[in-house]
Amino acid sequence: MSTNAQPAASSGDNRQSSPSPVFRVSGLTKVYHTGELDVHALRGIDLELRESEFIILLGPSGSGKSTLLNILGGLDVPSAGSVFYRGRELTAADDQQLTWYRRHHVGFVFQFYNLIPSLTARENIALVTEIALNPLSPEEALELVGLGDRMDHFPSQLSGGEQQRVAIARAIAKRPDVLLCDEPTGALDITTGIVVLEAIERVNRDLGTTTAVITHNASIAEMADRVILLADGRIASERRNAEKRSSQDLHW
Amino acid sequence: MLALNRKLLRNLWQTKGQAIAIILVIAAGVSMFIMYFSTFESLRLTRSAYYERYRFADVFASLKRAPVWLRERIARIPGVAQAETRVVVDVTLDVEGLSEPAKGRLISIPDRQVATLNDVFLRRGRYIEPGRADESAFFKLTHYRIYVRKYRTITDGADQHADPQSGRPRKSPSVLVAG
Repeated sequence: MSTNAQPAASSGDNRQSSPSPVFRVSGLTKVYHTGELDVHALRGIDLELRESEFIILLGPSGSGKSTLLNILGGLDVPSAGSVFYRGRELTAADDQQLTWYRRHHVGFVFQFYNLIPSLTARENIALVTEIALNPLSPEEALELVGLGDRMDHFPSQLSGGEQQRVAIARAIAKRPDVLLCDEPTGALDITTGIVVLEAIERVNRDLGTTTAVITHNASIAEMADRVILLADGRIASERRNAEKRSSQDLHW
Repeated sequence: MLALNRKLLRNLWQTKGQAIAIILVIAAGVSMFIMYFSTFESLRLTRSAYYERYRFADVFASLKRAPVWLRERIARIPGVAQAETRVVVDVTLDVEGLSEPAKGRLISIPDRQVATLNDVFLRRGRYIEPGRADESAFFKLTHYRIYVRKYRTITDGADQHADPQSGRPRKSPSVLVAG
């Protein structure tokens, strides 16, 4: 994997010209060795993610969703198998290359927002834009998630949903090729959750960011291009939605 | 200003009490260290200057029957600036007023004062003069003589007796005791 790959400017061109998937995963296995007991989180996953695709990963706790997302995002390494990102093997990358990959190609959103309490929404996003190669401005990123009027508020002055939208703005401010969300609505009520999903939907639609969202909520699956159901470390089922529903039409 | 620097400044302001306390503790620690280091360095320099001024040797060794050529051989060792040899003899002294015999150490010095290691420092008076009546050569060696000067009146039983002619206590023989 090249460490000086240009993440954003060239990726748009790749989307136009390359038919290859963003991710190609084969035989992905992850075993956690905890004392005498081996925990098999992933048992041979084969998967492809396409350009600008919106996928939902569904499954019960312990089915391997977060492990899969962490490996795709370069936060974890598999025990066996391979992951290719735009033709480059992530599983053969060293720490420096993985850092570059995470910094310039991947945006993360977690269930708990991980905002810095002593910085405003704008400054939390500036943390990323100051080191990204071709970022959105913090103002643009916040406008995109509907928080243009809350830029100078501190996290303690924002609701849970607003904080999560700031986290999404922070993730997309560097114009990542991939947005990975681990239960972004897990800590939110339905109304706030829908607002957050709208922000993710808009990023996927307007910026063409390949998006993978983990959720326990099967209703959310209606807004995805493709739904992958994981169980016991394997892909139990996979389906493509013939018609995507807007996040505003979702109920749970 | 970078967002990380802003975060640092705000966090410092929020914990200003702790920050000031930490700064004071660090300042006190650094001051103590500088004071200790200065004192240590000053003592080291003083010791060094003192040793140099009074030509104190850095290394000592005791041995029996060292021939003179050994001094020349030691002087040729790389790093040795100067080498000196001495004759050192421990003696027992009867000192007036002491119930038990005192221990004395006789150390040879050159019979003419020259700059040498572990030199004799005269506070008053003069250096030894061979041949004087009030100085005695205790031993005669090949190259060294050991002179002693009266350090404290050394008396024997005869000294306690009065001079039969003058009636005054008889004067004890003057000797030079070095050491």
